[in-house]
Amino acid sequence: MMTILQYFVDAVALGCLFALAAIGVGIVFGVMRLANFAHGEFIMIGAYALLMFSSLPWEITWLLALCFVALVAVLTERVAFRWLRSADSSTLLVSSFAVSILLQNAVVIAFRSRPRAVPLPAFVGESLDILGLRLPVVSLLAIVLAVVCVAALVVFFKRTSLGLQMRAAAEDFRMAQLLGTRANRVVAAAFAISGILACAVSILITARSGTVSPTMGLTPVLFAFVAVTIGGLGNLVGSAVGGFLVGFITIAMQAVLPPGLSSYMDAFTFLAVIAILIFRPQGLLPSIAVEERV
Amino acid sequence: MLRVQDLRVVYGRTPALQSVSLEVRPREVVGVVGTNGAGKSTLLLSIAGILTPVQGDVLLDGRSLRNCAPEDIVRRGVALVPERRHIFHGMTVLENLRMGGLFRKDKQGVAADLEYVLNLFPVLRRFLPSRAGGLSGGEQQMLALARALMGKPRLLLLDEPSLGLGPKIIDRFFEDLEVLRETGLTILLVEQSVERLLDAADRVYVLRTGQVALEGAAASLSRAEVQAAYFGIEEEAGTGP
Repeated sequence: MMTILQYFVDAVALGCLFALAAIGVGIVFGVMRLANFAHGEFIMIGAYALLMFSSLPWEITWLLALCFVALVAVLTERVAFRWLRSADSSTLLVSSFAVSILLQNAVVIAFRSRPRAVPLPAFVGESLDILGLRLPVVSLLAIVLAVVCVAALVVFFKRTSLGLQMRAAAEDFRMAQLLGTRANRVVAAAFAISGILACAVSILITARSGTVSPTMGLTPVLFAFVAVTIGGLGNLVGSAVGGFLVGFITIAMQAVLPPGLSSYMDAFTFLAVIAILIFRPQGLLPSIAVEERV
Repeated sequence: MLRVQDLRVVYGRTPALQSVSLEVRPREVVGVVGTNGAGKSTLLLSIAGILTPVQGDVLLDGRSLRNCAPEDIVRRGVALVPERRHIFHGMTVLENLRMGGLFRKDKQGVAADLEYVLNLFPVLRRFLPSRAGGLSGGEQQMLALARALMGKPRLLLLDEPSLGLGPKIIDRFFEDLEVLRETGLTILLVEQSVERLLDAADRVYVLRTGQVALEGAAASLSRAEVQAAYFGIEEEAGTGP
């Protein structure tokens, strides 16, 4: 029983990480229809920002890193994507690959390609023992960060003018513009939020691994895209659900695969994802269908 | 108030509007009628800033709207209710209405206008917390119109408001339009129904294959004249919309 509970906690923690990554990808996709592969580089830059500011108290380091990645994300949109806003999705996708490689190379030039250790606050490596259940602080951190971020997003989307405009733009960008929504402002806000969520993921990944490297964003962004797809494109709740599902599938594979096959865990995870998409090609929670009463 | 001068709009290489000129005076209801593909919606989308003309200009109070983004044009008092309404289905009715007045700075004015549109369309009041996608077609049309009014426009562009609605609901809609006209609102109305347009408008333009085929005061034009221009035939037409 304890083992199952332990797996459950691990799955929730990993699901939180993937959910944060997936929501970050989903927000930009919703507003701009851009599958932003450079999101992985936002995660990587967040980790390097943690390294850059590591001489400061951890609270300030994390805060500065969040602001830094949000700024990088907004600048990326301003420099690379704004000109392509009316381009088709394949052009946007190729551009996001280009931005991704550009950012990765910029970090290689600045920090070299070998992995670097990131100094972390001591509490991150600790565990709590509750009734025989081992709760690593890093897992609790993932849960707390996800709850805080999701709660903040709910308040933002429901209670603020900019949040309302972002929801409207995600549903019908042209109509939102016709009602006075400033396109540049909404898209920039989407990138800023996406950057903040990417940095939250950076914190969780570096807290788990203790290192950073220029290619560290690839795996999380891949899982984020899988989560967004199985959750239902264009639906943020779906993205979050997809993230949790991917987390649960990954931990389940860890639990059930024999030691000889554990190195192929990702392959089995993706097989499970393919199986889900065969039965629900539109995703688990696709965008709201339009139904009119007559 | 609004002057469209020698407007030419193309989709790729296909011309959608060719040298279209028209005028809308303050407090007027001007109708535009034409078959599918005549360029009616293109005209409204060009005025609202969604489409960029390759030639000509749109002047509002003598000032050009060329190079103005749609979000700036609505701030200058031009609201478009597009074809098929384009309400935000996933948002509540109240949120849709709030979207209409979001750019306004006068919050008290927005609150007063919310009351105004809810009095104008009382059926919307009981649906305020409901998802807009669940409304009927007629209710969605009311919501689209109410949302546009929340921006306190001086010029309202209506693109085929009767499309997909039953006759009774269309009657009700044109009654509402009459109420709006009495408030002094200027309206540019695109419709396919000649009869309804002649009843509702002060002046009428007939568009055919992207060009103005006929224009005149609604009172001075007969249904047959408009239909002849509509279909591009010289003789009086016996049947038609």
